[in-house]
Amino acid sequence: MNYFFHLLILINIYAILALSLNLLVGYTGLLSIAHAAFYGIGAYVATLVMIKLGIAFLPAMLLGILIAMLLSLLIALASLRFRGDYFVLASLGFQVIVYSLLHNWISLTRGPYGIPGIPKPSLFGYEIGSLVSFFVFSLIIALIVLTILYRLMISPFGRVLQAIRDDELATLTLGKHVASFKMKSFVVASGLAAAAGALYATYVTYIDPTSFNLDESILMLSMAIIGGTGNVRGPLMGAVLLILLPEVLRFLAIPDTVAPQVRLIIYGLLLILMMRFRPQGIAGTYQFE
Amino acid sequence: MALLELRHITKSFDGLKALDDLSLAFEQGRITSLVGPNGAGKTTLFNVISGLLLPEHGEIFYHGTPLNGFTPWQRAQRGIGRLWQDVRVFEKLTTLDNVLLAKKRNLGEGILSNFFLVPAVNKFERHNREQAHHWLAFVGLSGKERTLAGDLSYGQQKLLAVARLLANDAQLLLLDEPTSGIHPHLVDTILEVIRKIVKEGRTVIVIEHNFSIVFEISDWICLMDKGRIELAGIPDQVARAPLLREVYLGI
Repeated sequence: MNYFFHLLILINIYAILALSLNLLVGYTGLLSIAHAAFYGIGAYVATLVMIKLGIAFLPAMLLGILIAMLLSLLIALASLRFRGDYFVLASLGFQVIVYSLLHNWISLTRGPYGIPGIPKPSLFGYEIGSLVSFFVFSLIIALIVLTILYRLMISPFGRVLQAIRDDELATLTLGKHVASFKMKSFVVASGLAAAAGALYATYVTYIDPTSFNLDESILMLSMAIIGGTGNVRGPLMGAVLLILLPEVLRFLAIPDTVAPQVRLIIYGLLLILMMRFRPQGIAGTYQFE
Repeated sequence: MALLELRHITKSFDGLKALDDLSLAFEQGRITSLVGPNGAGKTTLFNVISGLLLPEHGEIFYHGTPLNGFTPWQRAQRGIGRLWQDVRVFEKLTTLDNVLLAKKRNLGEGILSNFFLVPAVNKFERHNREQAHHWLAFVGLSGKERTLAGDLSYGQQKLLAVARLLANDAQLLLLDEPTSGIHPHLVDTILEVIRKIVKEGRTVIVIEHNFSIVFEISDWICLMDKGRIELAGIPDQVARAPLLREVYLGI
């Protein structure tokens, strides 16, 4: 039963990540491979201010979100005026920089040793310690994120994002400040990824840089693309599928030493098969080109 | 005062002058046709007016104020609209959404207003919807609201793109070959729509290759060749000018 709730909590966290990434990939047509970096920033900022300053979970999470949003704003200002390909490269660069900072800024992050003993979140004096209560808590946060994103996706704001995705130049000549819309979309998506990071850190109570590396970014992209982008169903299905898949693999007698590699191979195969046979993903409405 | 005035515009690509010291004025409420052989610089001129290309020399005045320094989206905001030769409708959005999207200064396009000003956003959207239906009816696309723009015929897409410009409140419409490649019966619809647009006081500049259409709809015709205006006048004058045959047929 514990194992079951553990999986549900992971699904909630990754649902936030895949859904927020979908705002970028599926709605704005911006391919970001820095989502894990913002996830990591949320996790590290929340953790550090909780441990070092004794700040409560909610303000700590909000601070993580705020810092992720500020950093994404800076990257957006530097890269979004250029064509799409440059944005992909800029996001890759940012991912690598954040990972190496987390890895090498030992006085702050303890580098590869990671930070243990992260306190469980507490709300109004009630500590969310048990698995079930953490599941409920993570579900509430995931639902809030879902509501925010859904509202944006069906709004006139979301309509402009889709127009940019379909034809940037035509959107521009209708008087829309395309760069500003892209920037807002990136900032919102990054802030929500940071919320997932704070949630993750207080759930596992130990973080190290490997949870926020390039592989993680690619896992999130795989969730969005395999599940399907352009609506909320697709990324949700992608998150469920790719969280449960390795658990299924556990029952096959694959030695622990090769299991992670096998998992990556399966993600890769899935991506290639999807691209070939169902480019819009399992439940997607938009086909990333 | 002319609605749009170009003064000594020069634009070259790799040393080749696409626009060569071109000066031209466009009066409000008139249909002006730009004609000329391929490579005359007609589309380049549109790109310069919309701000997608910056000229090396020269100035553009719109309502008497200089446009230099305004980005493409700022020019669109000021009422300069563009119909692309390859239409560029948003194929994965519905016909209605294509038009709704064009509305300027839409409250719901801000992030926070979608959470804190929901009633105002909804009210704005209802009003926008009514207007969008009006413009779709104006171009004869009523009943197609829910169709994906990509599923419309090419001619219908051109009509949709025009409806989008009208909803965008474009006052100067740059139409790049609005009738090319579409079914003959839709050509008449498009010409009718263009005439109605001008009756509303809007101004149209059209690039057109079909001379029977040019002479039928134009109030003013400009013949372009090698980046210059070789001849300009009312249809009767231009039709009689020997230069027209010279430029087109090289005789």
